[in-house]
Amino acid sequence: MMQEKMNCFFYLIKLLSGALFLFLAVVMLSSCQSMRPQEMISRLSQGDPSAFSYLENLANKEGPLQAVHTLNYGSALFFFKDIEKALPILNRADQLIEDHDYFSFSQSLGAFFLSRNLKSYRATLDEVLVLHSLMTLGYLMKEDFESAAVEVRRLNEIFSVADEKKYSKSELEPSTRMLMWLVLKKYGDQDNAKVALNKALSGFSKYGGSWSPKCSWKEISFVPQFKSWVPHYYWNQTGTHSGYMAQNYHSGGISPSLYLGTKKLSQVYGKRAEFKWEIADVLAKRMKKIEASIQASEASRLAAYSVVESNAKKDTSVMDIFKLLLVHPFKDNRIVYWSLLPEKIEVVCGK
Amino acid sequence: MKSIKIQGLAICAVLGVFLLSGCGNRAFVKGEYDGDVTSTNLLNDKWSETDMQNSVKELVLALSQSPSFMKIKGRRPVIMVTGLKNQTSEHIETQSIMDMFRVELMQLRPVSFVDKQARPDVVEEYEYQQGMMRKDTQSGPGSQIGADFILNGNLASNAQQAGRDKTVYYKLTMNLTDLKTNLIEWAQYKEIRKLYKKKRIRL
Repeated sequence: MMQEKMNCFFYLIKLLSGALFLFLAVVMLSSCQSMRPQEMISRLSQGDPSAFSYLENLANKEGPLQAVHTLNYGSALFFFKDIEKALPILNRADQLIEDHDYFSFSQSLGAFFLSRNLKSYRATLDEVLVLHSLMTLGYLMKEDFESAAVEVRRLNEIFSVADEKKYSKSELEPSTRMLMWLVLKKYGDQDNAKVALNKALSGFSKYGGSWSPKCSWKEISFVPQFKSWVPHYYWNQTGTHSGYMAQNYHSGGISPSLYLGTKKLSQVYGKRAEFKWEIADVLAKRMKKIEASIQASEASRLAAYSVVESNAKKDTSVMDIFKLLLVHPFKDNRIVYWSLLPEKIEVVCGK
Repeated sequence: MKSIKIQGLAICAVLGVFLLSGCGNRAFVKGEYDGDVTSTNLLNDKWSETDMQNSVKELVLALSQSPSFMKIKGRRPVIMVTGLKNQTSEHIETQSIMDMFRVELMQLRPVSFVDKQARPDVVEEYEYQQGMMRKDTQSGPGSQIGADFILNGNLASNAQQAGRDKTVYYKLTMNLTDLKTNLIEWAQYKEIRKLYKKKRIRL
């Protein structure tokens, strides 16, 4: 009798574990977000409203990736539709980035066992600088100098925090400081403008390049270049537990016919850039870091699997669960990142 | 028996990891009215309505007790609000601060305000009323009352962060300038400093 009860309980547990995995699979698959940047850019540049609403829906979904989805939606509006509408969205993204700036044990465990997308998106210093630079440019184009100055002060705070963490440096600092100089000068804050200029110049000498200011604020135009994109990684989900193969998808050249600011793109394109943000480099570096982290994670998964396999004979049922966890078939490993950024953003003299 | 127990624990662990990994900021699915809008709101390190209420109330009280208005005899002093300069690192609706300042001051002492923002509408209405309205009800140029004072201000901030600790400092300065003499008749500031501890690691 006791044995029958035990068998029944055992069967129930097995059923439950099966149901649990099914439930998880359904949940994970339902949250799958297939965002191919190249396809998205091409749809956005054609003004496809469904592409905007797709990104908007993602941005409105609460979760660990909400910050990056909001960044993508804000960028889509910024580059392809309406800067005025984009600014509050980018502001929200900034708040979400701040809210999610912490390390979570449970999210890390979830990312290791279930899906990488369960881990909160933590923006890098480079990305935060690009975000606030974009917003500053947006307010400049709206001729809202007070708000542009607010963004500049925010950038100042970000640099102060980065200075405090000695290891946080960004190659985008000189260009960002240049933008700060431009805004502060226009805003009439000559003293702080001078500080920004000096720091920009010392940044140029540190990271390479040189610069002498020529643009006046009236002349500036802002040119995003959608020439090429950093590799976008997908992970082969048909692989076995022995690893997931990285595949790179390079985009074709996409140059949407848009212009921002007061001059047409054709008038300013090709002119010497006053200063620029080399975003492709930044994103490529980020992708390299992500790749390294994935490789490390897969290596530890493999190591864990071999430990589990060697112990499988001792306690088959529980080890089976761990084995399943380590190579579960519904693992959603697509990397969501701020993909809707152009390769380069330049501030050029429009005359 | 032991195996089943471990299996049960493993399932609980998986469920726990899954549920906990979904923890974080959730959608606001259920709300309720806060009966006291003046209760302290320190949800985040940004400028909040509590900061606005505290600063404005204190400054309005100081202004209402200032002798500057005594110079105006036989009628209410007329003030024009020009603006509050945002010199912080946050996008703050400064118009809302000035609106609250105006309302609170009007409740504390008899003063009148010139509606600077409505000027384009007023001019348009004057033009419309010419010939369209009955003469005895028409308003027109020349009947407005000039302001005695200009009220403006400046909101500045300074945020500092070291490790987990963050301080945010705000200084709201208000000035009342006599329009005839261009002398600042009254000035006062209110300082606010808020301390925060940032959680870097969470469960």
